[in-house]
Amino acid sequence: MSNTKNSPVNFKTPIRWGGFVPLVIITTATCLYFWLFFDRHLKYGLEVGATAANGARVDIGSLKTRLLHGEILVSKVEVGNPKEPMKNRVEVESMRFKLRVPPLIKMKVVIEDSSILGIKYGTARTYSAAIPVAPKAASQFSKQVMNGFEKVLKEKVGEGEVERVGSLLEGKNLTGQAIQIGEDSNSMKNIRAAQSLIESSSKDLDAKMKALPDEKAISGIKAKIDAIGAAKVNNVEDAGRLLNDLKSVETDVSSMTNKATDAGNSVTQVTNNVTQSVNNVEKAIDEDVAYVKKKLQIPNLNLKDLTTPLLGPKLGQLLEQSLYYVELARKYMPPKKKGEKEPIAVQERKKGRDFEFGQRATYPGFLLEKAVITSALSEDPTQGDAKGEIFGVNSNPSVYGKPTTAALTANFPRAKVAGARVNINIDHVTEVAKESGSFQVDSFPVEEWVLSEGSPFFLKVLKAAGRGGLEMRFQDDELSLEMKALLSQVNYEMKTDNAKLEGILKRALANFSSFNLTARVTGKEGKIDMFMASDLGERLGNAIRQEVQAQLELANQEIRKKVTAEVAEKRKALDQALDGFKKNTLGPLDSKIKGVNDLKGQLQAQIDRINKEKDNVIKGKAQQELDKVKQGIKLPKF
Amino acid sequence: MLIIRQLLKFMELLHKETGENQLAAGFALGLFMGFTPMGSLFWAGYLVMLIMFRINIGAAFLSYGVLKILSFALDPVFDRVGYSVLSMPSLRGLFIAAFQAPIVPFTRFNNTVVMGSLVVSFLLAVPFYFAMKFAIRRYRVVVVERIRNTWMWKAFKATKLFQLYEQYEKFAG
Repeated sequence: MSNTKNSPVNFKTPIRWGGFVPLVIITTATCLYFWLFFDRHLKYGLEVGATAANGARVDIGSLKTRLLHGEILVSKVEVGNPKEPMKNRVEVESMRFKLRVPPLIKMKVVIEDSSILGIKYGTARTYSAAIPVAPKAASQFSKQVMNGFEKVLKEKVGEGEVERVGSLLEGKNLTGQAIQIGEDSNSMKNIRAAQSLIESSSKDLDAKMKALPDEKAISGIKAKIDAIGAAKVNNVEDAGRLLNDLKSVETDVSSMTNKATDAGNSVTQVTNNVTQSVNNVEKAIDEDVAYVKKKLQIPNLNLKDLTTPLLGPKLGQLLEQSLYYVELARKYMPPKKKGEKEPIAVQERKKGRDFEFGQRATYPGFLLEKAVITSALSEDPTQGDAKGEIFGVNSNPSVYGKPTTAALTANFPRAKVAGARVNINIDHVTEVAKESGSFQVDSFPVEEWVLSEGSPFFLKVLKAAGRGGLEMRFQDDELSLEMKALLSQVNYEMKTDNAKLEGILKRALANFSSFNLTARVTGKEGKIDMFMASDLGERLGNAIRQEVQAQLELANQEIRKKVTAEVAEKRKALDQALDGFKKNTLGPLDSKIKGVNDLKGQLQAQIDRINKEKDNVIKGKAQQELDKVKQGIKLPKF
Repeated sequence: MLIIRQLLKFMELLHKETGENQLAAGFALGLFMGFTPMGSLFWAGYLVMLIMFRINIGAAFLSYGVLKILSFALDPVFDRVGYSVLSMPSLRGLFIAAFQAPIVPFTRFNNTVVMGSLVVSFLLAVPFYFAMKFAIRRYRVVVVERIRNTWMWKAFKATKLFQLYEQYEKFAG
């Protein structure tokens, strides 16, 4: 029986002591996890991350961490080739990383030294490295650059232009269809606008012309001037009276002159507008010709050089890939946060953003101080002779204070790759991110390189020996990418359904066993400029041009003729209207302006005459008075 | 055998501490757990608190489950709040010192979502605690009493199964 009355009060402390044992179990389980499974999960995590960055599987044979000794050992790293999934891009025999232990407790991974041994190139895989490729989430910078590039490419090449050249070569009569530009066409619209302008201007000018003095008014004034002109000036009073009469006539003439000048200015302005409007019809016809050409798919292609249409998209792929790696560097090695005094970097993460609150003379969150790459030739044909060093890969370059650099030279004799040199410099120390890199190869094999896969022809380099290089420079949002390559001993494969084109291309490619390629992309985000040149593109372009140029010109002429014929009737009416307008306004206006100007001249002549006669009268009077004075004075005799 | 016993004890813990305060505290802790992304050292702290303090574990997990779903939608908000806090010049010295200190960086306080969720959780924790306390009280007075008075509950209480459950309750204490 329970005795609740006498039982002690069951006071509970806020601490649940019973939870101590589960806590110890959880802690032990965590330690066991690190001991038994951490390496496996780290290996898996690295494989997943590297696979995503590479675009094909990256496999790690084994990974062993000895954190207390500050060591990570990795062996047999296979980096799959996305284009050839049964081959590896690179295979590394072993890697050893020496870590500084004390920073680990501050969640900082500092690799003071590392070695990468035994690099193999193009090794075969036992299973495919292909992965379902998720579309890469490009940043605003990448998107703007690629949009700018595609815009330039479209401007230079146009859409489907090469295919339409193929149609021309097939001998299709592209202008055979009926050309009807209709009432909504630019030409018709402009003709209507010009006609309506002529009509409205004629009305306005009619009103101004009516306000001008008519013949009767001019004759009246003329009669007044003539009457004054007939009068003689006998004395100063006559002159004053006549000048006063002329003054009143001058006011009337001035008013007439002003009206005529005003009308003249208006007519000049309106005539200019009308002439401009009529000239616009010519431009509109050009636009309609261009529209019809587009509608009938007449190519505008510059056939001097086919390099850009053929290889432009490949250059775009190269640019996109370069941008991907630049963005990767900017994401994981972010430059200093803008406007910050302290060396603080902000890194985009899957969830949110990480602030790295750096401090001078400390370590960044991640730092690979030095990695030495060594590989010597061995019996394994895929293993190459390589030497290189990587310095300062880190997560907060403004704390580290030095740019990341990598230099590598490699030769893979069995793979026929000789004199490969890579130099990379990533300077994210300041707020302005700067990346530069160069990749040069003295000799490398080219196999199965598709130059043109679309219509009207398929062109592939089956085999060739290549040499060339790539130089890239990025600074904030500005970029410069330059590529030069020379391919020799080239074997082509060419296919086309167009027999005529096949003949042209075969002739162009015969004995053409080497070609060069120069490509350059420069600019800033959306304002991209590109240049491409290749003697292969030039040769193919010239060959096709000779064949299609005449046909193209014929088609252009045909279209212009048809468009002009469509608008001819209305155009003629417009020209007549313009002539009528000029005749009706300019002719009468000129005669009226002339009449008013004559009046003005006559008036001035009379004013001058009267003034002159007045002066003569005054002079005569003065002489008479002087003679009188002379006679009145008698000089004394001496 | 030891592991099974500990598991049973843990199951038992889930149903213990059913006072209003413990339940409300459980819900409030669940708020932190639900909002803060896993993988930060804060989570270890939450687990220690959950096990070592008299907090209702069931309530914490229930609250965690519901709020975790909500947190997916709130991540952009946490990101913005966290960014503002981490960008504050007045806290710069504190953050630099914390980032350079041992262990502290494992909390991932320097992540905008972690910091934002933590700030939002702190702001909401006290109102959430009192709201839950009020809700529990209302639930017990209104809902539980109403259920107890239904004929279905009375019929269920008369069953053998319920008697067995009562005996288990006595045995388990």
